[in-house]
Amino acid sequence: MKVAVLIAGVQDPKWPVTPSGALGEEQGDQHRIMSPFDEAALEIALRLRDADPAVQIMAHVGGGAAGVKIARTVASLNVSDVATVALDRPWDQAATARALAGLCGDADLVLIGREFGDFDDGLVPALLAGVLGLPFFGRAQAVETQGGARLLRESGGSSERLALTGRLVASVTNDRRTRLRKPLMKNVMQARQAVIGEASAMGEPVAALALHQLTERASGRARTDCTLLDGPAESRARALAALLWEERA
Amino acid sequence: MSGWTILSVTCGGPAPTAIPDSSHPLLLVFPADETGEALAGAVAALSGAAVLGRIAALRREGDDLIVTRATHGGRLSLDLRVAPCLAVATANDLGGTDGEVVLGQPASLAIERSPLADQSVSLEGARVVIGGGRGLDPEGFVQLERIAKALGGAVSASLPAVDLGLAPVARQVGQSGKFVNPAIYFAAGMSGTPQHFAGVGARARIIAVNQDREAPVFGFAEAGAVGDARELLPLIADALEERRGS
Repeated sequence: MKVAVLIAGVQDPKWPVTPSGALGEEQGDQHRIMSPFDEAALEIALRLRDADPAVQIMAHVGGGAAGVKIARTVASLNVSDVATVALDRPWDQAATARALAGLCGDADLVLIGREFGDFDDGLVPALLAGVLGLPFFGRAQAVETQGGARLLRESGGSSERLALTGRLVASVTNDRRTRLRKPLMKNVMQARQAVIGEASAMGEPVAALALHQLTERASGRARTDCTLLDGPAESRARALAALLWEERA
Repeated sequence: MSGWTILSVTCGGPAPTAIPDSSHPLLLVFPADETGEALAGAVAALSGAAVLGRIAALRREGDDLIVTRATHGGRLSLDLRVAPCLAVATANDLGGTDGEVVLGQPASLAIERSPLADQSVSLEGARVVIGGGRGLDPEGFVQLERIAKALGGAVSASLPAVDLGLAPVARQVGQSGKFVNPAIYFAAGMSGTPQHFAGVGARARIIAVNQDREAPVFGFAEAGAVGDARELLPLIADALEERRGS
């Protein structure tokens, strides 16, 4: 089985982000990390390879030159087929999906985070499946490999399992079962020396769409004058319980 | 004057059906949930529509639309200018559309389903939501379940809490999780990041418990208590169970 993993990378939320910095991702990779969704997608690919060494993993990391640090992390997990890719209009989800489609080749399974980077909110994966003409399994949470590979998710009160028997695009969400493993130190050292290639991808831009402006976002929630309850723990708890009880109806 | 028609989509399933006539500028707004996202993507791929993302606001400007959506986990705001075309978007609670349309059909994937053991109150439509963050431990979430049960509410969690395995991802609320619009949101052990509260409707009244008096959540909560959740949550649960039993 050939598995393509598409890793977006995001700006580390521990660091401030500015509109000019957000659009100038080629400036440097110091603060770029994998998102929890990227990590889960990669871990599922690794689990599939653990179960069947014949599984081939190919990974692409967004951000162009700013994606090299993440690409080395991927390489340190024994994924030798890894390259970065520059995506010119990351805010244009259709162009991004079309560019990614050109990277998937004849992969049997395409794994992509539930959101593809800072500018996506969940539409790129489904759009990618549509562009590739493949079925889509959204928000996968884990993988089972005993007795055949199956993707798992929970949805609408049900646990759902999909056997990996045909070509598929699956988006992956964060789950404690798919936290990304740590690489061996010797592999980290080797990955520092690895030559990371750069793939080219052209997603035809949507002519009707233009970036108007990117600004810092004011909190969408009005400031309040919070009433802080005081007194012993029991009285604070009773007061909070009374508030919740009154407001529940 | 803008000639746009804006239709709110009700999903029949995640696979596309016939797309409405788009000889005039048309924006289809899908629900910002799992099925809505899958269908919006499929429709856009089939039709070549412009994709606008999960929009929070829109306005008409001449022949164009200007739409606003959050990026970078809710830290930045992006405005896109959309010239007349067929466009798709998702939204949580966008009002002011021109009408509704039903699209979609069930997908053909052979998915095995089995009921989850956790059949507690669904987050969608819950009037009271009891949320926990990474400031809690597993016992803290047990106490949240007691509080939710006493109030007939649903339990939610932040992304870091889900990452720590404190709650299933189906309970995740936030920019990258579900959107809830309860009357009351009780926030325990969470600092109050924009990423989390992007998933809580503006009408919700916030009540918070946090051991850090400077936590941002107290900046928009109506009431709260500074204290150790391990101490306060069991006492709150006891008091509510007492009220329910009386």
